[in-house]
Amino acid sequence: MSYYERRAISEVFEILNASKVPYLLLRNTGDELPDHLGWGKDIDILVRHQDGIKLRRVLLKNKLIQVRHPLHNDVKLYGVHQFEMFKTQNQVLLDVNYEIAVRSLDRGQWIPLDQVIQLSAWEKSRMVDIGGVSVPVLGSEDLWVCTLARCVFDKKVFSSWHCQALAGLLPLVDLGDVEGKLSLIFFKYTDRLLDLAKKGEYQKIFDDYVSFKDY
Amino acid sequence: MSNPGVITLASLRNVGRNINRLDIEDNIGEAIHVHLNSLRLDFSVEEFLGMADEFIQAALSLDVFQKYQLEKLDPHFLFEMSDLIKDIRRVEMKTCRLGNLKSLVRVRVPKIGDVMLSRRIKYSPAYRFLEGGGGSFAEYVQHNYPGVDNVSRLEKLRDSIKENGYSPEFGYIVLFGDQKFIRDGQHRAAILASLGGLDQEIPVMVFHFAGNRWRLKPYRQVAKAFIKKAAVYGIRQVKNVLRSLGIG
Repeated sequence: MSYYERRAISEVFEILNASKVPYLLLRNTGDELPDHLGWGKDIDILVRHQDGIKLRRVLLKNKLIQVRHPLHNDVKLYGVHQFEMFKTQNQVLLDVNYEIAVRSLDRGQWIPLDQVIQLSAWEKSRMVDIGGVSVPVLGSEDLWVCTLARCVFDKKVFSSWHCQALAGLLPLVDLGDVEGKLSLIFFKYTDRLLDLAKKGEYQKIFDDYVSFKDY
Repeated sequence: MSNPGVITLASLRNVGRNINRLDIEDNIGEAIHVHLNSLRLDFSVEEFLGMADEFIQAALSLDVFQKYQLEKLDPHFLFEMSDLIKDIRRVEMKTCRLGNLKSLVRVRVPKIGDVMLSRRIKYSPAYRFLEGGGGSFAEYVQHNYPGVDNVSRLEKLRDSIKENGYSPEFGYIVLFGDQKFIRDGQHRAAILASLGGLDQEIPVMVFHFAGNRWRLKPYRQVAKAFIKKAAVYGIRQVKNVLRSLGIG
């Protein structure tokens, strides 16, 4: 498998940082950034919708081109804005999201996570170093919640990497905060979900969730 | 914000004269929502299942299915034929030759889309699969049992029939009126044919209805789809010609 060069990845973050447009890196699955992002895979960022025009202007000025997003035709509900995709001169793909959203279970429509989680993502962001560049990412609690939600709704499966990442992060998070946010997504299933997570039984979560009846 | 863990249990439009919208959604962890026009009713799972039981009791008290047990009929089949239930006049048991029955098979016709065509049992995907003919059965898209693949479902049913026989416990093959199309029980028919041959006489349940709304005309459906496609193509060609002439 071929990967983007580290320099090409760093360049994207340098452009974003120089733009002064607030953004967040939504995920770094498998720690693939900065050295193992497979060719054709993208960097997912979160930007506030009101900053979208400014961001687009900056990216185009830096010779990125806007390309049709592969999920352009997907149905987005409850105010989820159209995803946008840009490509650098080194062919790195930048996937711009204006809300943290997941796919609904049966029709695959994009639904935003609760407003509490959207606000918390910005309020509790933190900085990490990626390829020598300081990059804002989700706080630990929001990262844990969003990763878990993504596994349940988008992927419908927990990969071994995701299981390890969730298990590794769980002892470090504020469980009260996590529980509150999970309850906005999973409602009465939250207690059972946390129970399975604490036992490390992530693989059981999806089937258990869709067959849950105590509500 | 909405619950992303939503599964649509039913979605109907323009039911009778008064119902424009009927959607039933399972919002996992939260509630079951029944949307009736602009009204939303929230149920717990227990309340919803309780209401469903009440509807079953109401149907039984109407004696729509006469002496035959409603709960032996597949709920997906009941849902599909729900609009015809009020037209049922008589239900009877008959015997007929298995090889004379026809399956309704979804076929993708290039440039037209999916249409339902009739096939004799021996040409149905399930029968051909059971006879080792392979074919498209494993990939055939079935909508009624999400999460269950066709092969597992068929094999489980075959094992059950081998052990218990073709018995009312598991529901009869259902026909409507004088037509030989299998309305429910195509897999059972394919399995029986595979196990005992096409010449065997088997008991089937036949629903008789008032009127003709129940009658299926699969080839008319294909013809309609083809004509519609041709009309759309024709209109597009005419528009292209007009555009090239600078008109319209």
